[in-house]
Amino acid sequence: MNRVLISLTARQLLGRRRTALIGFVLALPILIAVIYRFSDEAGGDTSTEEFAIGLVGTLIVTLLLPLVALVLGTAALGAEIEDGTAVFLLTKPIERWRIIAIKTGVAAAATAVLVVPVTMATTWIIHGGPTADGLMLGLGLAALVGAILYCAVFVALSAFTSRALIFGLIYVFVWEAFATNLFNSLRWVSVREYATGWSDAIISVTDTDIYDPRLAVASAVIGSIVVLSAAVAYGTRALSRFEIGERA
Amino acid sequence: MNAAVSVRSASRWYGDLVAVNDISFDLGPGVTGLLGPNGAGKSTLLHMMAGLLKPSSGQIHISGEPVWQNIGMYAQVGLVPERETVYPFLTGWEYALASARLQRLPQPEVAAQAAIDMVELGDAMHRKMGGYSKGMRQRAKIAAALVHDPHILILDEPFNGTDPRLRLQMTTMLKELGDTGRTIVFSSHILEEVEHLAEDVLVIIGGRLAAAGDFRQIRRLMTNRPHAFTIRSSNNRALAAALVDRPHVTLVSFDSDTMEVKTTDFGAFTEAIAPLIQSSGVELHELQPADDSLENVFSYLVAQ
Repeated sequence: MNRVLISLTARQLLGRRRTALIGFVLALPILIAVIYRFSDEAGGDTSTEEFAIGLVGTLIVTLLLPLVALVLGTAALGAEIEDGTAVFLLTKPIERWRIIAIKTGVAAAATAVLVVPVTMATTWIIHGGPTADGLMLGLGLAALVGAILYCAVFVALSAFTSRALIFGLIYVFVWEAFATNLFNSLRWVSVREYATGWSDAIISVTDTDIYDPRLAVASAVIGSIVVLSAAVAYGTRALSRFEIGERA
Repeated sequence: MNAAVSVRSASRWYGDLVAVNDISFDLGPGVTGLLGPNGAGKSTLLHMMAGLLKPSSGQIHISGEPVWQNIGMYAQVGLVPERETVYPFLTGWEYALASARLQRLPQPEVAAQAAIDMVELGDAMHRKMGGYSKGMRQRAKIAAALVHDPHILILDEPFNGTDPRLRLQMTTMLKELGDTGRTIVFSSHILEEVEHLAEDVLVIIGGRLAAAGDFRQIRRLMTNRPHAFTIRSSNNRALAAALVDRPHVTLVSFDSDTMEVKTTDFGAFTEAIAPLIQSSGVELHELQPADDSLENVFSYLVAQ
């Protein structure tokens, strides 16, 4: 049963056009890293770590990662609900938590497979090899955790509303990019902060001007577990109460 | 013993709109047609029976268990939804097999093949469903719904978009399933579809149950209702004079070159009209029923 659910979700998610578009967008930071590597900037005023944090930390982890997760997370369940194919699954004796968990897992795996290698490769290219400060692994870990948490949130959101994509965009661009920066206490309700908080365990240049995650590792781990559990529980509840043709 | 399907005072409303209004009935083995015009509330009722909509009030049970939020019931229920959406990247075989595996059947390949054979989709079973015709998609949906040999089969407008061959084949198949003790309920807005397949019928109009029971009785009620005919002839007045003597003719009215005749007995009128025209020496140009739309038929049933 699980295999069928995984296969259906993966085949639906990784359509050629969607994957090609995401691949094209994710090629941009690699291209920028290559340009940096072979330009004068590589030995200039901006340190390699600062450039890596700027490009990988900001562009990939805080912008491209949530966008890819949003596209795949909302497509994993929301697209099926929208086009009516979800009725095929919903009229089978399958526990709703299983549907949510598998949809989340597949979307997260697809997001991670696309984003984590790009995150690590970009860091590698900028440094011209593996980094001693743990930046490559740390940012890769942040991308992995972010992929899981963002997808859990967006799959749950798509079980609740047909406007998950819009709400997701508002969350990424208004809440995380703006509100959490404006009010420091809001870092506790930000997937991005939980994801980057994990990297504190690996990256040695944290707590410096270069890189300073706003949550400690322990807080990030606890927060991540809470977000993941709450998203799966909420998504399961929403799907259990799902009514055909009644989506707001 | 519990009825296969039991609907008790079920209503469903959306804001101020009442889609299904206080409907009660029981269904047992056999084929039951849910007949009604478009927008009557048929799909809403079927979706409530399939556990995909929560009744605003009332209860719906399948084999004695409530259907809402009861995923276990899908082991004995099959649903063929009206919306013809299937996974376009799957073949018909993969679709039926996925359905069998999701039903946790012990031999999913055997069950999938049997379902594919039942709907005669064998020739196209290895083609992607994205390239299927409407009728083939319908076959695939029915195969997926039948794969676990459900006790109860719910079909929403199953004949939409089907060719005559598939229609005949589906009619035979559903009759056979009904005869072997399964409870089949299907919706349609076409009287003839229901007539060919269902022994029992539920007539729904405006969200209310207008009639329920044996199809032949309801059909008789429909046939014996007052009928109106529009007639155009070479001498309407002479024909009218002959018609008003008939006891079953209740009204004759004129409108430029046509006249409208109302009768309380459809059979007697249709038997009498031809000899009457002949004996009156008039030439008939046109004779057609004036109010034979399904809505009119249903309106009459509701009034009864």
